[in-house]
Amino acid sequence: MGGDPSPDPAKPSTLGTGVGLRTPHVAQILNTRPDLDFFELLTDNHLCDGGYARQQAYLVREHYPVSLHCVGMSLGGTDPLDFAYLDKIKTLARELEPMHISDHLCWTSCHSHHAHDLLPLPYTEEAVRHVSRRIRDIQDYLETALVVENVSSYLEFEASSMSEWEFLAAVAKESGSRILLDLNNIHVSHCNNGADAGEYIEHIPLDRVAEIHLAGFEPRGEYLLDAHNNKVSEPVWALYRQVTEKNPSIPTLIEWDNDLPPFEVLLHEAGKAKAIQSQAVSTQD
Amino acid sequence: MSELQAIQHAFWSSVKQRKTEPGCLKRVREGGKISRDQRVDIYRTTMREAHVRALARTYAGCEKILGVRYFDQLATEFYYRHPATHPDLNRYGEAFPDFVQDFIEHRAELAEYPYLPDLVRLEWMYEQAYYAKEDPGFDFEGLADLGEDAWRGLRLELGASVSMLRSAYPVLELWEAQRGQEEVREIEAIGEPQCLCIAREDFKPVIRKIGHALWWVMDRIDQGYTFDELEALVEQESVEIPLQTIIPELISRQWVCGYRVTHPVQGD
Repeated sequence: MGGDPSPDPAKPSTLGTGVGLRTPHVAQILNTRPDLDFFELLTDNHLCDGGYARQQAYLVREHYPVSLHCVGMSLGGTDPLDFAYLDKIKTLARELEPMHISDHLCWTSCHSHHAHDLLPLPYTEEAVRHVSRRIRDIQDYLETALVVENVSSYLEFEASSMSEWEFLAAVAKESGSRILLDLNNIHVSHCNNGADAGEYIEHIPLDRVAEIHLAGFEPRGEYLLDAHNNKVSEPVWALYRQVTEKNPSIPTLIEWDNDLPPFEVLLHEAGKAKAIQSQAVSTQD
Repeated sequence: MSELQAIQHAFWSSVKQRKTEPGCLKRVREGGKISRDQRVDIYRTTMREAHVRALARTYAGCEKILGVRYFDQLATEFYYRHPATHPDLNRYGEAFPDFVQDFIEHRAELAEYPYLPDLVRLEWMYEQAYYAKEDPGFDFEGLADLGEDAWRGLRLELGASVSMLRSAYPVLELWEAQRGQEEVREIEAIGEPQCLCIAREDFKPVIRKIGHALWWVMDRIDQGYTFDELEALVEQESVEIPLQTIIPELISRQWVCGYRVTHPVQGD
């Protein structure tokens, strides 16, 4: 396990495109072994002590590289870190040897209660120091570099003194972590808060980006909800083209959580991403 | 308290209640098509919906009986009174059966559903059996090494996925009907209580009807009685419980998966 995909011969040399593993698709995946480069596991769904929810992670790992995507570390939280939770992640990671472990640039708990949602941070120097310290502590405990994802947001705090991309880049630099760049989240936040998505892509240090997420949103009247229940939208594909023109080799994942469609729909979306990657590679050649 | 902590505490207070506090609102930047209040409310709503959806997944039968709208109200009320204390959302809702029981006792409109608390308990047990840890196989060799003298002081242990339910209602039939497309018919109490064992078999939780004797023994094992104490209890209560056949049956079904030695073994 480590920050970079290892040259393990069992793994493909380039981890081009993958999809998020969801239980209703597992049997089909195991039976048909689709042509995908990796799967991303929602770690929290596989941290139980036993049963099929845990077993399916091992079954899929026998055939594919996996990454572990977490939602409960509360990287920006002010409650103490939950080492019992981290210990379960460490145990799972030891057994699955993932490409990397990721979580979100947000906070998810307060007063020992859990939000089960990704709550927004103020983009301040204090928050950069606080989040970076916690990420370093987590990395020391997990013995691997963490990959940190930008979240969708529906508000900004008055206290913020920098843009989101500046905040994300500063945290990655100060903590030594890598970035999971979610382009749908950038688009959603752009529409909800007015931040410039193009400028975001222009300035984010792509050499630190370990993975890209693509997903769909749900229009809710005057705002967009990061619902992961739809195909990737055209503005998000445009952002993806912008990124791949600069760096076509970043592993890319299709995320779909709600109103789950047949697996073929996810495969088709992953195929589109792969085609854009290939196009960018051929243009660079 | 740091500025970051102050922001988080103010925000948390607002999203965990039904309205936004001024202390939170003034920290949110104004601008765009939606108000500051609406922006906080998006988080309040998505948090609540995540919890209510989790409850609806676990308690699908309850939702079907009460209808989506009433269940949503009930689950929302539960959510505001019972914040999640575990990072795993699949573990949310343990207190829901007691909450439903309390509701049934105090709400006239729910008086026609006296069986609902038992159905909800069964749904929780089923869900937890799915996620329970794997049991090590029963250690027959270790048992043989202990010697027969020590056996009488053993406390048997039920498997991690095993739980039992006894109900005055035909709760298994009701549970099965809710998972299918059957209409809910009027449910009446039955003469003999229904005893159920819920356990995972080949990764899938299974609910089985069990006889009173089996239920009686499993219930006492769950309470921590030793084999000796079980025998004494059978005699004391004058019940027809063939322990000599029931205990091996429980082990062979893997409902009893282990034991603890409680009496010191006599050495040479």
